[in-house]
Order: sequence, then structure tokens, then C-alpha cells
Amino acid sequence: MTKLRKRLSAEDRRRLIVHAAIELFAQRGFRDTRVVDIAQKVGTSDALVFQHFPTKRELYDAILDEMCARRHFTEIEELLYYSEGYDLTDILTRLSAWVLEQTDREPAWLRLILYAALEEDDAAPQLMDEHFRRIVDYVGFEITEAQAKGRFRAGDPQRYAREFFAGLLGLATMRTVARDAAFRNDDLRAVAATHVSVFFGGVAGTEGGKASSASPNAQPVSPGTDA
Amino acid sequence: MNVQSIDCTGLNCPLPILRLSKAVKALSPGATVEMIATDPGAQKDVAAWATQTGNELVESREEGGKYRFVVRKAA
Repeated sequence: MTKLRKRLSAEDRRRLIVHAAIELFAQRGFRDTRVVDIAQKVGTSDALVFQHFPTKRELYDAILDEMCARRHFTEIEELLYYSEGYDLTDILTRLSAWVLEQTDREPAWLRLILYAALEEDDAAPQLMDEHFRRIVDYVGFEITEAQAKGRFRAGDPQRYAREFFAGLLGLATMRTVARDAAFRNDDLRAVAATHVSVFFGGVAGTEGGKASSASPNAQPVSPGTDA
Repeated sequence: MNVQSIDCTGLNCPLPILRLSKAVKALSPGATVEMIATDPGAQKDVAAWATQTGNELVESREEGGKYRFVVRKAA
């Protein structure tokens, strides 16, 4: 427990409160977290917490607002925007690794989104939109492009994209929420490469790119693991 | 003169930029394309993309929650 010093600025104090609240909300959800618990974690009184955030809801909203702020996968976006003919296997592997890195580094991120959904919080749809749908839509776009080139088999690209993202989210959840040892011990980049490779095997097209029930063995992909 | 228009309403970044980039590649040098988007992130991304690629951002403005961009392909 950190005892607050008098010389802490209001801004620093506010930051400590938010930090402690993120941890507790991520562990217990909004409903089961009490302001007094947050105050205790920071080493201050609940009155001081209320000075900064008059209600628990305002504190929670401040955290969710921050989470709704877009998270840039800048490095990947730059490759998308400025490379002539980027490699899709490489891009999707980087994107998968980015999602897993984010959740490994800040497990509270995924836990808060899941709690918001479980508690049917009003902010949940916006969080889903910002953090999940953006990725699904982008992957769907790439699948549509690949289908047009005959690289992937026919089928609903958005459904394929959802499958891709759901697999990724499952991996992230097992690593950071379930904290399953087997999942956690897997090297993050190898996991990302395998995820993309398995997915590509499933949607690989056949010669001519016609609708088919492509064999998973068609066009095996070697994603080039760098693990 | 007809200006090609891309509707990226409801799409989140990076999709608007990817669609814009694809459309600009298909243009003749000096020709323009219009894009309508709703993701606020597009404002910053389109400006950065135009600077980086040497294409000219002729217009960028918001109208009732929609963002309108006009880009001229570099000569």
C-alpha cells in the first residue's frame, strides 16, 4: 500500500487513484468494487477519492473513456499505408502478435472489456467497436481482396474475419484471463505465426479461385516464424 | 468534370486510408478523388498519408459528423 504524501500534486494523486481503480475494476468488475477499496489501495481516504471523482461511476467512466481512445497499431498501419504490395501473411502475423502483446502487457485491458460486457455496461458496445470491430473489419477487407485474387476460397469474408479474431481473442483470454500455463508458456510470436498459418490453411483457395471446399492442405502457408 | 467518390461511412481506420490509397493508385496524375468517412481518426491519418505519399490533400472538412476529403494524385 502506498501512503500518499502531502506534496503529491492533484494530478499525480488523480493518476494514482485511476491506476488503483483500473486494477480493482479489472479484478472485480464495476459492481463489486467499492470506493473504499480503491482508497485503501492508494493509501488515502474515500473522501479524497470523492474529491476527484464525486461518484464511483464517474471514476469508472473516466477509465472507460480512456480505453475508448483509439489504440494505434501504428507500425502495422504504416506498413499498410506506405508499402508497395505488403505481404499479407506478415501483416496478419504482426497484427496477431500486436493483439497478444497488448493483452500480455496490460491484462487489465481485456479484463475490463470483458467485465463491461458481462455487466452489460452502456460503454460495452463502444469498447467492442473500438477494440474488436476495427480489427475484424480490416481482416474482412483483406480477405475480400484475397478472394478477388483467388488466393482464398469463396465465402462470407466477414464471417472468416470473425473466426480469425475469435481465435485470437481466445488465445489472448487463455493467456491473460484464464492464465493457463500451457498457453502462457507459448512464445507469443510463434503463437501469432501459427494462428495465421492455421487460418490461411482453412481459407486457402484452389486453382482458379473458384468456390470450393478447399482442402486444408491446399496452398500450405509458411508464415516464416521468427521465434 | 466527374470526381470519383468513395463512401467510407461507418468504416474504422485503417480501412478508409486503404480504400483511398487503392483509389488514388488507379487515378491518372493530377486527377482527384473524394472520400467521405465517419471515423474521426481519419482526419489525422489522411493528412499524414497525403504528406507521406506526396499526394495533395485539397480539402478536409467536417459536416455534421461526416468527414469529407478531396485528394489530388501527385503529378
